Amino acid sequence: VTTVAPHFDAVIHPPPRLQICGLLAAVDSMDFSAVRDAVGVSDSVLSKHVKQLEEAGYVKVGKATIASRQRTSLSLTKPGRAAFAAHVAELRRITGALDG
Amino acid sequence: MTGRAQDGTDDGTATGRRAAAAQLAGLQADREALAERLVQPWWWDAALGLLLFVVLSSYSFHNTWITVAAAVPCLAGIAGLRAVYQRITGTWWDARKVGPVQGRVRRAMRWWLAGYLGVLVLGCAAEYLLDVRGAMVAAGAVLGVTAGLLSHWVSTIYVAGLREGL
Repeated sequence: VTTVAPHFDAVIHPPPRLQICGLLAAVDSMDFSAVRDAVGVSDSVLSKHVKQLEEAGYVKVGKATIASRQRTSLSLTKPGRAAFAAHVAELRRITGALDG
Repeated sequence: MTGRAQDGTDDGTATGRRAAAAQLAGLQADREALAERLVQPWWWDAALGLLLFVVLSSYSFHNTWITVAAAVPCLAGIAGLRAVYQRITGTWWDARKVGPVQGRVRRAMRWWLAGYLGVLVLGCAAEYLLDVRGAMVAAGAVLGVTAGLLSHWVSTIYVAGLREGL
C-alpha cells in the first residue's frame, strides 16, 4: 500500500474541480459530455474549470474525429493524479480528526 | 496544515471537518454513479472472445493468407469494440493502470497470459507437429471463452472496487 502525503491543493479544491478530478481519477479518459452530465454544469462552466486544471498541468484535453464527429476527451495527467490523491489524503486527515 | 478558511475546510474547526467529510462523501457518490455506467453489455465480452477465437482457429487452415485475412478484420473488430465501449459509456479505462484493483488485475493478466501461451503452444504442437487437425480450433475456443470471462471479471471487480470507497 502506497501512502500519499496529505497536501491541500487550491486548484483542485473548488467543488466542481474536485468533482471533475474525482471522476477522471477513476478512469483513463472520459468524454467531455459525460463529465458535464456527471458534474451537472453547462459546457461553458465545465470548459472554464477544465482550462484552469489544464493550466495547472493536471488535466489533458484530447480531441479526435470519429465518424466525422468531433470527440473531446479529458484525462488526468500524472501530476494531476498525484495532486488529487494528496488532496483526498488531506481531506481524510481533516475528517480523521472527527474520530479522534 | 491549518488556517484554511476559503470555504470552511479548515482542520481546526468542526465546520471544516464536516465540509471535508461532505466533499469525500460527494466524491464517493460520484464514483458509485460512475460505476453504474462502466459495465459493458454481455455481448461486448462475447464479441471479444469470438474475435480471438476466429483468429486462433484460422491456424487450423494451415494457410498463412487465411490467418492474415482473419487477423486483419479481427484487429479492426477489437478497435471497433473499444470505440463502441467509449460510445456507450463515455469512458475508457485500463484496470492495470488506473482504478482500485490494479494489483489484482495485473496478477490475473500475468496468469492468463501464461495460460494463454501454454494453450497456444500445446495447440500449435498438436496442430502442426502431431497433425491433429482442428487442435487450434479447440485452443481458440478455450482462449476465446477465457478472454471473454476475464473481461467480464475485470469489469466486475473494477466496478466493485469503485463502489467500495475512495
